[in-house]
Amino acid sequence: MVKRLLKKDSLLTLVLLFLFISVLAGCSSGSDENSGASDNGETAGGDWDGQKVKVQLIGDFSMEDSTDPITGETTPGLTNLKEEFEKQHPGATVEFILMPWEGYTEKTQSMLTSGDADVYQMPGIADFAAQGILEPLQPYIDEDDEFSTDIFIDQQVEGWKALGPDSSELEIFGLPFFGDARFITYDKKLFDDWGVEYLSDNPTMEEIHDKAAQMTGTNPVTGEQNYGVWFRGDWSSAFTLINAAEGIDGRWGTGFAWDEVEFEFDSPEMLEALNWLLDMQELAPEGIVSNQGNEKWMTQDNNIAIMLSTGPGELVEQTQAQGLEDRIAIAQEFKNEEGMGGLFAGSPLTIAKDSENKDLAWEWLKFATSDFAQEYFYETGAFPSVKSALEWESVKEHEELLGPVFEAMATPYIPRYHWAAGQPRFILTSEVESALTGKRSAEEALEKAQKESTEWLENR
Amino acid sequence: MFKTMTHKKAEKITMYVKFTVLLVFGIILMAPFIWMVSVGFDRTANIAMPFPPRLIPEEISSFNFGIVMENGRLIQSYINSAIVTITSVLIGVSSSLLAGYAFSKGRFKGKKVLFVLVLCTLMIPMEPRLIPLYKLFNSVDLLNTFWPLVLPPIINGMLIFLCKQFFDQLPDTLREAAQIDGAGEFKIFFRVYFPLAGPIAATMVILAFIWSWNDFLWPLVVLNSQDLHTVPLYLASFSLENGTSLGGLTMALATVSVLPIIVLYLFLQRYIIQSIALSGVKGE
Repeated sequence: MVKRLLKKDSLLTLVLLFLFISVLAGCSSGSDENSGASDNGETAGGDWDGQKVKVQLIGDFSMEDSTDPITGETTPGLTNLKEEFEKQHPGATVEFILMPWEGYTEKTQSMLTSGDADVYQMPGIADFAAQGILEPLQPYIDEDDEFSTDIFIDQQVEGWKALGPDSSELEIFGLPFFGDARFITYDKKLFDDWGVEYLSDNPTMEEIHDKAAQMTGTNPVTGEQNYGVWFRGDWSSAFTLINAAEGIDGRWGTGFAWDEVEFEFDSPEMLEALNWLLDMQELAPEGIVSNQGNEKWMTQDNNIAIMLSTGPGELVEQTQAQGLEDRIAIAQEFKNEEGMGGLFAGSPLTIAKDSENKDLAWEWLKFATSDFAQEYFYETGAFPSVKSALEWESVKEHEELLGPVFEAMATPYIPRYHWAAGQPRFILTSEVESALTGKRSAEEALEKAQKESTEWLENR
Repeated sequence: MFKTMTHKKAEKITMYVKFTVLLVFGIILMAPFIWMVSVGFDRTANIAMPFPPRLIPEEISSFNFGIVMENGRLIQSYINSAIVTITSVLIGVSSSLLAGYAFSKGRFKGKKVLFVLVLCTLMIPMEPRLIPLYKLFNSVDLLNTFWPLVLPPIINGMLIFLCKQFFDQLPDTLREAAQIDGAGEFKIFFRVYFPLAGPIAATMVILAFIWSWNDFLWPLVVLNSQDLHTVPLYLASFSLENGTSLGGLTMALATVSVLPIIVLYLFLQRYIIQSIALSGVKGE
C-alpha cells in the first residue's frame, strides 16, 4: 500500500487525501438532522407556534416501529408519541435525543453544559440538582390547575426529591417518569413439590430462611437438585444487604446533603443482615458472587425456590413466554416499622434550568406522565409511575403478578439511596463480596466498608 | 532399515500427537465463537439463555438477526463508522508521520519541550478532557457532526511517539546526503524517509483503525442524532439499565459487528501481530 502511494507524486497524494477527508467529513455533518425529529417546525397556526422542545431519553427506544425481542410483537415507535403531543399542542414540535444506558451520566452532563435539550430523563437527579442546572418544579405544579402530583404512585414524588445548591430542604426537580421496584419472587411449583406453604405477602428474614432451608436438596417430586434461594452476590448485593437490615429496623445511614451524610454500614443491624446473607448463601447454588447458578430461573426447569431482590423488567413477557403464569408469585421485600424498605429506583423527568422553552417543556412533562404516554411506554417495556395504570386492561390482565409490584413501588425506602450513584455503593458491594467469598469475616467487611466510605465522604 | 521404519513411525506418532493437541486447542479457541453464532440463531435465547450451553439451537431462526438489521440502522452505523474511521486514520497517521519525522530529524527551538507536551497528552485520560473538548466543539458549532471525531487525532501522542522512535533508528546521513543534493525538508521526508517507513505506517494504520472503530464515549457525547451513530453506539443501544442485555440479540449483534474486524484481520494478520510486537499496545 505504502509503495503504491509512493509511486504517485507525494504532495499531490496528500492534497487529494485531505480533499477526500474534507468531502467525507463535510458530507456527514448533521447538526439539524436529529434522530428524533422529522423536523416539522413549520407546523402552522397554533398556541405554540414555532416552539420546539428537545427531549432526551435513555434506553432502547426507536423512532420507528420495532420488534420486541422476546414476544416478537411490533412495538410502536416514538413517532406515535411525537404526533400525539404535536396534535395536542398545535404549532409545537418535539424532538427526541436518544441515548443508550452506557455512559448516560457523561452524556447528560455534557448536554446540560451546552443546553442541548430542554427535558432530561435523569436517574442521577441528586448530582445534577446540586449543580444548580435543573429547574425547580414546585412553581409549575402550584400554577397549573390541571395538574396534580396525586396521579403518581405513593412515595414516587417524594422519592425523587433532591437538594438544590442553595436549598436546605428537599425539593421537586423531577416528576416520576418510569417506575421501578424491588421485590421477592418465588416459584409456587417448587413450594408445592416440597409441601411448603407459600411465602406470606410480607415475609420476615426467618420465614425466608426456614422455607429456603426446607426446599434445598433433592426435589421429592422431580428428583432434581433444588436450591432454596438465590441472590446476586455482586452488582446489587449492597442493596440486598441494606434491605435485610431495614427488615430489622436498620438503615444505610442518614442525611442527604453530602456534608450531612453519615453511613451506618457497620451497625449491629447491618451485621445481623450480612450474617443472614451468609446463611442464605449456604442454601443457594455456587457462583452467586459471579452472577451464576440462576441459569434455569424463569424457565420450566427452574431449580430455585426464592429469588431475592428482583425487578419488574420483562417480568410479564418472560413469564408469559415461558408459560409460567401459574408458577411465579411475588412477595414484598423486608420493610421497617414505618412500612418502608427496599431500593427506590426508576427515572424522573427534569427540565434544564437554561431551557428556552420551559413552558413547553412543562407541557411535555405533563404529557409524558399522562395515561396516553405512560401506557405507550408500558407497551415498549418500561414500567409506569401513575396510579391509574392499575385500571388499564393491559395491567389488569396480569393483576396477580403486577399488583404486588405496584405495592412495592409505593413502599420503598425513602429518601432513596442517593449515595448509590457514587463510590460508597462500590465499596459496600466489594465488602459484601469479600464476606461471601470468605476473604473477610462479616464484621471486618462492614468495618472496612464503613471506614472507606467515611473517608470517601471526607475527601470528596 | 528397521531403524528407519521405527524412526518414521515415531515421526508419524509425533505428528499425530501435535495435530491432536493443536486440534483440541483450536476447538477450545473456536468454541466461544461458534457458540456465539449458535445462540444468535436461537429464537428462545432472549427468553432464557441456553443452559447448559448447546451448539445446536433449540429453535433455529434468523429472528435476532432480523431485529439487528431492522430499520436499516445497523447498515447506517457501519457507513458512519467507516467514514469516521477512514478519515481519522488518514488524518492521524499522516500528521503523526510528519510530526514524528520533525521531532526526530528536525532542528528547531523548543523541540524537546514540544515533544514533552505531546507526550503529556498520553498521561491525561479521556474523561477529564471530555467537557473542555465538548465546549470547544460546541463553541465552533461542530457538535453532532463527524468533525469532533476526526479532528482530535491530528495530535495523537502515541502515534507521534512511535514514529519518532522509528525515525530515530534511521541514519541522519540520509538526510544530510539529500540536503547536499539540494532537497528541501518535504522532499527529504517524502522521497527518502517515507519510503522506509512502511512497517511503522502499517502498524499505525492498524492501531488507529482499531482505536477509532471501537471508540465509544467521545462519539456518544458529541453525536446526538441516531442517524450519525457509529457501530459501538448502535450496539450499546441494546443494553439494559443494569448493563445486561438479552442473550440471543446480544450474540447476533456480536456476530455481525465482529465480521469487519475478522475480514480486516484476515487481510492484515501479519501486520497486526507485528504492530502489537512493535508497540506493545493492543487495540482496545
